[in-house]
Amino acid sequence: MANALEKLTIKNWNNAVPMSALFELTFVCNHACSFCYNCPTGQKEMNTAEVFDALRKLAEFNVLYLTLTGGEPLVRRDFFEIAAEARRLGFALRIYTNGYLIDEAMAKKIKAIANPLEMEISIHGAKPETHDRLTCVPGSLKKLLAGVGYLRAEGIKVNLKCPVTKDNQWEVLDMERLATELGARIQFDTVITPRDDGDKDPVSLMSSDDFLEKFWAEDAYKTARKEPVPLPRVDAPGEAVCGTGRSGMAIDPYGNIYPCVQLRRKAGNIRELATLRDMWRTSPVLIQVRREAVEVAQQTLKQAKNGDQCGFCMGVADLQLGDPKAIYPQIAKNAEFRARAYNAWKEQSGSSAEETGGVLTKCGM
Amino acid sequence: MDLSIVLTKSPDAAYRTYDGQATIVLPSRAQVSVLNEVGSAVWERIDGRRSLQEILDGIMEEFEITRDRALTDLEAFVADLRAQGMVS
Repeated sequence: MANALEKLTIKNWNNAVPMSALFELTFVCNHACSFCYNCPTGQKEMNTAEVFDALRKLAEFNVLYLTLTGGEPLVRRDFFEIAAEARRLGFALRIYTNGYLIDEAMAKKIKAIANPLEMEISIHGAKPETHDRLTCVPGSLKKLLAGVGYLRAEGIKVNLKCPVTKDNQWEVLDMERLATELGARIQFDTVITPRDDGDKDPVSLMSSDDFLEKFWAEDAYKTARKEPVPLPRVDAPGEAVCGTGRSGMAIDPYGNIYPCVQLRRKAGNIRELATLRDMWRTSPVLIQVRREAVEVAQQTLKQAKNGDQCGFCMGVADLQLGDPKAIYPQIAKNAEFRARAYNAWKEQSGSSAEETGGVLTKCGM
Repeated sequence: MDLSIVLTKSPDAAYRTYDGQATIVLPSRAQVSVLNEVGSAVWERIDGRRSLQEILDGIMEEFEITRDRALTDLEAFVADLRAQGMVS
């Protein structure tokens, strides 16, 4: 039985009422990760007043959850002015950072001014030589871990996020241990995405088949993900594959509005709009992606091999294959290993995830 | 219950109203609450200016509800909001 929050979330999802937004405050970053998806264009980024104006429009549009990210959001000199304004406007904040700048004083300031629901921090390895090689910044893991400690000391929830690559794949369990020691959660993403301009170079860092097989099947790795089995997705008739252009939106440092952080089809520019309401209702881009998101769930995945084990991303499909509805290699590979592990578990247990109420959580829900 | 009291929403609370339902997030407790229609109407009236008496009157005007019932519900609701740190 769904509780009041779940019922409301589903209702808003079905009616395309956006509850969340992700705001890339800057593309400037103090790291140089080789697989970063950001593609700065050299345009002028929004200044403080423009960001404030954008926040006002998001608040007037009734967005509740706001993720402040980058680039590295904490490099903006006006970051705390922006965070304070966002809190004044009633947003529940998440801050997505690389954690490099968080010392004790910064952690206290984050608590006092931003009071975030959660801090999301990227981690790329359990060993300095692995993490620091990927970020190209010596000492970055040490600073990140210290930063997590300071945030936890302030009682701030921390969620570490790790894109799993062939360079860090065998450190997954050690990263999980590090997170546990620090009182943080950790999420692993086994799909590496192309850059926002379509450059597919980062995809070559995708983890190996032997790792993926272990990751989805072996007890040790399942424990690390705190998920008993690779849960299948369940899409009700007419339901969309994800929340792109539906439950939320993404805004880049130039004010461009996208259906989500991955699907970089411009729907408008927040600097040029008096309100978001009309754009959200009439944008051809948003109308199209909402329709395509339903088609992916109802057609693509229902026809695809292991489609119910695909945590499908239309943005990655679009960037990689030029078709947001096409099955891309990374998702096919992950789905194959997920299905294998799930079928083995079903055979052993004589049960199914649906019977236990477990389903794959949809992106954006 | 002292109906002359004026309540203020916690500055910690982030909130929006969707289709008449107030959705309140308390970051320090990592807690999200969705209020029912009457609770949402009370929440919207908590503004640091109106007394509980004024809120009670407003609720009775908006909903077909007896004074006794409205008072009992308001008392329980305010106690709950206080316990959860949503108002002071």
